[in-house]
Amino acid sequence: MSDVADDQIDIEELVVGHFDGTLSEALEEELAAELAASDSAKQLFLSYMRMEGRLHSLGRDSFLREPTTEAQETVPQPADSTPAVQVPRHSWRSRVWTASTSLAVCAAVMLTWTLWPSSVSASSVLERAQQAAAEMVDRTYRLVMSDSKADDGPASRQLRITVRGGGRFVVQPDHGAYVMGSDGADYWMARRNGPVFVTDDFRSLAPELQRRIPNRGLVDGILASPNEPLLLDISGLLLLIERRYDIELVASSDPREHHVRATRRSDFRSGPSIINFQADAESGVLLKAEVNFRNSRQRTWELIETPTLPDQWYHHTEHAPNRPVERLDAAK
Amino acid sequence: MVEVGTWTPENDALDDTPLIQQYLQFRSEFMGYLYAMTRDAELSEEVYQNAAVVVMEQSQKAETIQNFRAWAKEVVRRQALHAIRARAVAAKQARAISPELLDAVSDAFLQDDSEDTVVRDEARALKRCLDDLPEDKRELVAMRYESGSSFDEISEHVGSTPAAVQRALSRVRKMLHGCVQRRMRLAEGAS
Repeated sequence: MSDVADDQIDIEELVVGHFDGTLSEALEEELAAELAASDSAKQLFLSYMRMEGRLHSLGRDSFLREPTTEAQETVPQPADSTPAVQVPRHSWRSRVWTASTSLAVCAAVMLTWTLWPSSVSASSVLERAQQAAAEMVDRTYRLVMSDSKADDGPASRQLRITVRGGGRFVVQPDHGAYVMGSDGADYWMARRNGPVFVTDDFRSLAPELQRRIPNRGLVDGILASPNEPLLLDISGLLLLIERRYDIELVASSDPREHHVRATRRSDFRSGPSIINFQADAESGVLLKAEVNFRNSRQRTWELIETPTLPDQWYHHTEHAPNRPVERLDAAK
Repeated sequence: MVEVGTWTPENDALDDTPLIQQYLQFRSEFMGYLYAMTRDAELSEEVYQNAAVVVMEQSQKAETIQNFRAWAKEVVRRQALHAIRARAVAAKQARAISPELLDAVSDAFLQDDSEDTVVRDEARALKRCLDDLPEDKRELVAMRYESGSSFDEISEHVGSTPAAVQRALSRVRKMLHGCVQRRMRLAEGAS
């Protein structure tokens, strides 16, 4: 083996030793000298450094025990001990149109479109969706936050969010590293082990949580939307549409639902550029929403069930029992 | 020196991606640097998030950052040095990393101008290499990076010694790094 190759191996030993924390002071100085003198040593160190960062990031997001290929991961449904009833209509995922029926469906859609009552408008659909979201009914959505151009390649994070009118919600990420929610009065958040952080002011919660919870993927979502509670609350999402978006009714392929497309008005510079949502034509309940940001990020909500839950379910004691509670003062 | 220009609507129109989102896109790169500086995953995460606060505060100011990556690197470096000093005072670590090495690592980090495409390709290659790892080695990596277990804790779990675990992880790191480099070379050859 050549001297150059031997040198490379020696330097690699030093680099790996550094990340293992096994270098003596003298070897650390030797590594420092190599980094200062040799561009190839520097590049080797940097590539190891990037790998180390990725491994920590993948570990943080609980992607190391499962295959991490770029295909979107399936959602392992958390065990749910709460009594649940069927979603009161067809399942979104079960609607697989076959070629043999597509013509008939298209005809039905055309007929429906022609006969659509003139009273249905984008505004009326939005208004009904807001009324439905305000109902004191528990609805569980799957929220998928994805980024097709993330630093580490296409990335996706999935959560379950259960909402009820009055601002109540509970967020349960699949990796289980934390749980957060609101009982309508306070926002709260707890990691797997540790205290429960509670505040009544979500907008000031983001930086405070960020300082006090130096861990896990929570900070990504909070920091990405510091002006809204993660855009998680369906009512909040619909209110955002009402205030900042131009809306139009889009022809839906399913006569049992209405499709609204919302485009951010030009006088607002922040927030997702396009929001699409489908609502049940009969009940007004939001079935699916797709939020596209100007970059490659996207969030989708899909109604998966309508459980019946006790009021207490939205309180932190239900999800993080017997933990110390630390109340966060609002940042001034 | 990082340029901080005057805000104008035209400047803003060039890239209205919120600073914090830009910051999050560099997460792996910054975490790698922070781990190299601290060799402490929890502290690295804390420093990363402290730097995020600085980024958020910057986004409230009427200034445009011309070179966000360079600016953010400097923020991360300063936060890292601050944390390392604080840790030394608290004497949490038996021996601090030598100042010469910290300087050399920071210099390499600040000067690194690897292209985005290379960084992304490396990330994809690593994912495939992880998928190719034998089950026991993958579990070892998961215990170390996902559960944050120490060599002692892992050794108890796998019925080995801490030194053997450390050596095994070193070999896995080298194996992964070699696999990534091979995949990168193959991709280069194919293009």
